[in-house]
This record gives sequence, C-alpha cells and structure tokens, in this order.
Amino acid sequence: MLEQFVKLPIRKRVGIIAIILGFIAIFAGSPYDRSTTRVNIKELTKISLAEDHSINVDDLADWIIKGKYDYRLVDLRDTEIYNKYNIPGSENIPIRELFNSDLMRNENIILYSDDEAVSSQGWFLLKADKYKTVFILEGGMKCWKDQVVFPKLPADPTKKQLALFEKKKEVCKFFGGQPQFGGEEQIEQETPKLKAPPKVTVTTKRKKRSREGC
Amino acid sequence: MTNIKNWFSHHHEDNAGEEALLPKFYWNPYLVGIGLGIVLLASFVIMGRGLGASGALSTVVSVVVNQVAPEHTANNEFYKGYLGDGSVSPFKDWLIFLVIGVFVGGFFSGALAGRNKMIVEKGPNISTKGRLTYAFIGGTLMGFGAKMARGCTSGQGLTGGAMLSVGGWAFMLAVFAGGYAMAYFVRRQWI
Amino acid sequence: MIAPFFKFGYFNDEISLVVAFIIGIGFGFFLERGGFGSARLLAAQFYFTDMRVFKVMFTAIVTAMIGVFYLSWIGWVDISLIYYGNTYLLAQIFGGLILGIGFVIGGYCPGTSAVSIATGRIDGIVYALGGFFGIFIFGEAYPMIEGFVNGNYMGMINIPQLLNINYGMILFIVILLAIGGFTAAEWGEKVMAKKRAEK
Repeated sequence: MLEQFVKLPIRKRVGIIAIILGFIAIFAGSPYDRSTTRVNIKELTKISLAEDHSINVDDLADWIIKGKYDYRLVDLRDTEIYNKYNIPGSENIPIRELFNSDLMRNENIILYSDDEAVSSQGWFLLKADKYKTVFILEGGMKCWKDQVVFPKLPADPTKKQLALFEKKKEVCKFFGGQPQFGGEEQIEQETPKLKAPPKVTVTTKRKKRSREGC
Repeated sequence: MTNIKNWFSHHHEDNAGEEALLPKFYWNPYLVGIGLGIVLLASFVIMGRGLGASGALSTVVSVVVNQVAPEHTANNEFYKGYLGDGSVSPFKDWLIFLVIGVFVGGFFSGALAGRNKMIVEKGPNISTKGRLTYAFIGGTLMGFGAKMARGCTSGQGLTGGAMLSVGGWAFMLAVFAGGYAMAYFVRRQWI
Repeated sequence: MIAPFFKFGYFNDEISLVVAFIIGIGFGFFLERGGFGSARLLAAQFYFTDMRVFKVMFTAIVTAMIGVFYLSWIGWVDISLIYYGNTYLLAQIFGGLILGIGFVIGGYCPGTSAVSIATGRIDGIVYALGGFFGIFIFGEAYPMIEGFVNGNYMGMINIPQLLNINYGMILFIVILLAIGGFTAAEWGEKVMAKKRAEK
C-alpha cells in the first residue's frame, strides 16, 4: 500500500494525510476542554519544592493602596463567607469551581483562603493545569486580619516596633480596621463591613485585548 | 516523482484563452495555501492572534480625520477605537507593521518573478477609465463592508476560519455569495 | 504550555511590531506568489475560470486549523489564549455581502490590494483609495448604524460550541468539505477551459 501511496500525485497525498489527521482528531477531545490535563509529575515536584510561591500580606496591602492591579486576586472560600468580608479587589472563585473559571494561563494569580491549606490545594490544581504564575497569600485571611486590618502592638514595644506600628496604623485605617494596643486579648471584633470595590480593570493586559481585532 | 519545477508552476491546459489570464509561473495554489497556512499558524503560535488588513486602513483614516477635525473624532466611538487614548501613536499598531511587511513581501515576490509593472489590470472589453472607476467603487464598498463585518478576508476569513469562528465562517459564505451574485453584472470588466 | 509566546511574556510590545513586520513579509510573499496581486486572477474566481482564491484560502484555513488543533493537543499551544473576532452575526453577514460585491467590482480585498500596490498596479492604488473612502463613510455613519453593527452579539463563539458537536468532528467535516470543494473547483475549471477552447 505504501508504494501505491508514493505513486499518487502530491495533491492527493496531502489530501489523504489531511483526512487521516481529521479522522484522528474526532477522538482527541476538545482543545478548549479544561476538565482533563496531562501532568508532568517530576516537573511539578521540582517546581513545588524550588520556588517561593508566597505573597506577604503587607506587600499585598501595599499594592492595593498604590492601585497596582496587574494580578488577579482570587478568594477560594465559599460565596457566603466571601460576601461577609473579602480583601478589596478580590474575586470569588470557590475552589470546587476553580477548574471551570475564566482565569487565563498567562495571568498573575494570587490565591487566598482562610489559611494556607485550601490555597495550597488551589495552587497545585492550577500549576498542574500549566498556569504560569500562581502565588498564595502567606497565612491567608487569618494573617490578613491579624496583621493588616487589626495590627497588634506588643506590650513593651521597641523603637523599631513602634515605628513599624505607626505605618501599620495608616494601612489598617485604609481598610477600615482598628489597631490593637497592648498584649491583652482583644474581644473578637465584628469584622468591618468593607464592601469590596468594583473590580479595577486597569491592567495593561486587558487594554491590549481590545485592540487585537483585524 | 514528478519534476520539481512542476511542483510549483501551474500552467493551464488552455490553448485559446486570454494571454493575460494565464497564470504564468505562479505557484501551485495548494502550495501557496499551505505556505499561507503556515504563516497564519506562526502568527497564532507566536502572537496568539491571526492576520488582518482592514484595521490598518481604518487606523489611517482615523488619523487623517483626526488631523482635520479633532472635535469630530472625539465624539465618534469608531474613530476613537483606532486612535487610542493618545499616550501611544496610533501607528504603533501591530496591523500597521503587518501591512508594511505585506508591501515588502509582495514587492519582493513580484520582483523575483519580474511581475512588477505599473499597469492597470483590466479585461479586454473595458477602458482604463472605466476600470479605475469600478476599482474606486469596489474599494468603497469593500471598506464599508469590511468595517461592518469587523474584518476582511484575511482577518475574519483566514483567522476566523481557522479558529472555526461562527462569525468568520458566516462572513466568508456571505463574501462568496455576494461576489457570485454580482459577477454577472460586471462581467464586461473582466471577461 | 509555552505558546503563544507573546501572551506568556517572552517579548515585549516593541518586538511584537518587528514580529508583525516579518510575518507580514511572509504573508505578502505568499499572496503574490499565488497571483493574488492581480485583479484579473482574483476576479476569475467568480467566473469559474480560475478558482485559486477558493483553493488558497481554504488550504490555508485547513492547514492552520489542523496545526492549531494538534499543537494544542500535545500541549505546546494554549488555544484559549488565541484571539479571534467576536461574532456579531447579522452585521458580519451583511458586511460580507457588501465586501463580496466590492470584491468582484473592484477586483481586490484589503490584503491583496496591498500586494497589488507593491507590484505597481495602479488600479490597486485606486482601489485602496476607495477603501479609505468607504471606511470614512462608515465612520461617519457609525453613530446611526451603531445598533445594527453591534447587534446579535455572540461573543468569541466557535462552530463546535454553537452546534454542540465534538471539535474534532467539525475539523474532520471541514477537511472533507474542503477536499470536496477542491475537486468540484478543478472540475469547474476544466469545464470552463473546454468551453473557451470551443469558442
């Protein structure tokens, strides 16, 4: 059969190859389907052990205040908990819907949940699906509340700790929180009713998308 | 195995046809198509977008109109889209550079084949003036249609076609339908 | 997934313009090689004497379509990052009809008119000037026809999504249609050639 194939004019040969490729494609599944992926476990192990994937809460607070929004901040918790309080600028994608989301593989993504357990799971899911840049918020929502919204001044502060605390006071005011003084146990405050501001779409990537027409 | 030269050139077996209509030494259209397809694929893989042409024309029009009447363009969403927000020159546009490349590539290929001539292409049964009039009218319709369809045969047709876009395929079918429907009425220009 | 390279940040905007230029050279080169700088050859499509417009376009579409599909399948290209136009159904059909009419009257489309200008065709220059004029008319009329032009918005939808049919199956059908179309085109050309020989 191969000799017959080679004898055919070039047009017919290309046509037959095309038909074969098309036929195989029927069984290959949709390229847009996000529910399955092939994972390179060796690579993934290397990546998860090698790089530093955490974002510090203070850095994040800084970015939000400065209006730096070249990332997507994702809240992995359930929607009701999200609606009670979330970090400004975040979007709610409960972790069970993460594989279905509109997150793009080339975006900078920061995940957070109550602590680091769920966000680490989210990190792994995204990295296995070949997302390029994924970070988790160090300490999650607990750390955010502890350090940014309700910063604590220890009982006997050093000069350095005092200076740091002054700065943190300004930051926490921005987020509607309250600084805590002394080492006493404070009553669990009612979390301030901070409505997350509408999603700021000033990222350069989005501007470019609108001019990709023909 | 056929002669390698025959792979590329494609002579019509036509003894009584119009001299100018014989595609002398043009490449086999299927090979041209594969070449074009690879260029399109390269654009997808490198840039994540396809080809296009009409957008470049729109940018030129928007800039010219803006120079003449800036208050007018400030109120018009269409022109504004091509002018951007003023921080970057509208000519620093991917399509503009693509079209400049098309000029260079086309010139180069024509020069290689000795086909670069300052002539007017037309059929034997029409005058030059008639042909140029038709060219202008055709161009006007093309410009209007391309903007309404948000693209032309390169952008919507090739790019949209390869990505199986619904609008792209609908557009392509409409283009062929429109062309065939009108062909009878302007046949004197070509045949 | 490492491609599309630009979207993963492998190079910046300035270099993307150089990339555009290089890709454009390839684009223009192949267009002219195929004879698309000549209005007579392009228009011959609509008289069945030379069907190269159809052959080149659909060969290119099928090549790129198969290429993207398989590169995505082996995990080199992220197909969800490849941009193509949104679908505005009626506007595109209507615009396509108008463009098709303009195509056969004028003898070019935007890309091929650039090639024809590059090879010195005066009618190509006139055609492009007409194109500018047509775009200008559209720009002026835009406020009035905005509603129609932006209507029937279906987003970045593709045929497998619309018909809810397996992507690979649509690919296969498109290939079959293309090959069928090419066979019909060859037959049509032969018939027309015989007709002209008889004259």
